Amino acid sequence: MKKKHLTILLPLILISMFLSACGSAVAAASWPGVNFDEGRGLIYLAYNQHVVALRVDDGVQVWKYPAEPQSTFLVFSAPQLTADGQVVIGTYGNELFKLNPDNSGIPAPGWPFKGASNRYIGSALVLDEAILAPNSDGRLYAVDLDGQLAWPGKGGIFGGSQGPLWTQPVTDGEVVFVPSLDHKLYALDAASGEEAQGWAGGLDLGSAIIGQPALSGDGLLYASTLDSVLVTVDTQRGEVVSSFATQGPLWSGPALIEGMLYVGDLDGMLYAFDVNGNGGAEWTLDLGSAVTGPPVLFNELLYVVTEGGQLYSISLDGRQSEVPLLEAYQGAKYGSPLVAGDYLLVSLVNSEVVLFALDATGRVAWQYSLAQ
Amino acid sequence: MFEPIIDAFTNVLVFIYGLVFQNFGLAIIIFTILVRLVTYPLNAQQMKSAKAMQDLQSNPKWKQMQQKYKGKENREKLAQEQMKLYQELGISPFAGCLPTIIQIPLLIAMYWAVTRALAATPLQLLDFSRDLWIPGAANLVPLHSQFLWMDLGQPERLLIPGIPFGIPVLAILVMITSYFQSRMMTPANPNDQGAQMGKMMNIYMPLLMAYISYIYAGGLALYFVTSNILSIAQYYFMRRPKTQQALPAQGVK
Repeated sequence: MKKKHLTILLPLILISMFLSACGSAVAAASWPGVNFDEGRGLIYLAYNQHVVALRVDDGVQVWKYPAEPQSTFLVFSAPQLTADGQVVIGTYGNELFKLNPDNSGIPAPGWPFKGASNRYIGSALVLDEAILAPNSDGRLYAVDLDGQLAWPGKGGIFGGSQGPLWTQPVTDGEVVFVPSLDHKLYALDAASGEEAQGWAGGLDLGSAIIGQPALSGDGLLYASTLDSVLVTVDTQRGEVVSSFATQGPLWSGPALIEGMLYVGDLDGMLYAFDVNGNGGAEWTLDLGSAVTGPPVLFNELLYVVTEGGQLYSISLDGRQSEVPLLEAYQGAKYGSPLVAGDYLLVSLVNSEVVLFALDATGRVAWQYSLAQ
Repeated sequence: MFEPIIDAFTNVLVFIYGLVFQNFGLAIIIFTILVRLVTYPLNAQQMKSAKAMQDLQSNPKWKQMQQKYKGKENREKLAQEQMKLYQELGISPFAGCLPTIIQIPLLIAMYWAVTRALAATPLQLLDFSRDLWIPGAANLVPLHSQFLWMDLGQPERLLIPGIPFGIPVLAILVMITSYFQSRMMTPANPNDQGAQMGKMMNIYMPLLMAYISYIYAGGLALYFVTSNILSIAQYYFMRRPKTQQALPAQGVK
């Protein structure tokens, strides 16, 4: 090739490489999702291009799906389990999988479901006879356990949202509540997919709902919005009954634990509310870094992680202490820890160690790293 | 290094998005017009420089010089004489480069602003929501990426019934407009080394731009098309009066 051609081509190739590098960085921005099958004693970890099954006692990998990375298999959510322990996960490649844990995770016949036109970001909600999968195309897909569309009257799809669905729905058994990034909360009959009475067109909460709402047994739903408001919704009437403004935007959904509601914001504040109280926070804590998932209860203590890499244990009356972690476990932490049997599982991003298990004494019992 | 520019671009883009009924395509077009207005002096200087280089091709001294110092053995002497003529006429052959170089950070910032604004993953949306400092921005997140037939967050393809593949309309438009834009600014003399380089750029640049538009988010391609069309229009209007004056002279000749 002539020198003149090279003089022009090289800078162009460099610009192209620079932009390509940007593109691949974008595609890999996943964080781990974890679930636990107590019956099989397996933990399912979904991260980047794989779902892996690990033994809960020692973290040893049992299988990995797919065995080799596939460009369309990129996952962003925690796997969900059907009643018989099949593993449900949606991908960035618009496919919904039901993996068979007894066959190295190889999908069951009839799967994946390929009816969606966009990415799966949030976890599916698994009911007795249907899987409700929220999709970025703004639709909620109801798929039966054979991979066929359910809800015959609705064609298997709820398409009322004007924005992407990134959040796992919640249900009280009869009604499914579907949070949307279009700022609305929708309520559907779980059996038919029709909008629940009093919920036509959804309930506008004013800003995107990203965290999974919490349902109480007395017909109240608690939802957090990106506009820094925690709202309480009367699910019978489809109305907001109260709201609380937090200091920072709320990415995390709230957790309802023993009559108390806990939620953390992106400014690093953690709030505790008595659901029977006057609406004000019982106590608040400044954790110093963004909280993107609700706390969990483990050995009578609340555990919450922060983007800054800390793991906090907090007594139910609001006394915090940071769990000391070795350097290998100090990476950024998103979402929530997960209680699996006798262990507390904590995941990391941008770190060689992806998941580690703490025992009741706070000691790291095992870890799982990408190299494994 | 680009972070402050990217932050500013992102916020301005979101602000415009809020003003134009949450239409992200319109927001990109208006934002591109604003960027072109802000960089107008730079673009004008670049175009003026390109025009001066084009006019130079018809300068008798320049032509004589090309004839006199033909051949590889005279290349160095020709370059010296050309530099003398540049100085004599007050032309800098590199005057057009500086505005282009200055605009590269703007292009990169625009790329990132569009990519951030159309956050497609949780981490991206998390970062994007924290980058916003304009009041009320939380209520606009996430942005609606649909514009005409396009999802501006995805590589653009027009699906036509009966055709088994999507047609990359924006990538084609980017290629065509990039070609015309760079051709308008290329010196015409085929013997001149700069003109030959320019001709090569006429081929490679549109192909590269089309390739980038083909594989990246449609929002970026929309920016390219709008920017190219504005550039072509600006150059057309800048050179039109002088072109008209020059016509009789060409006729006499």
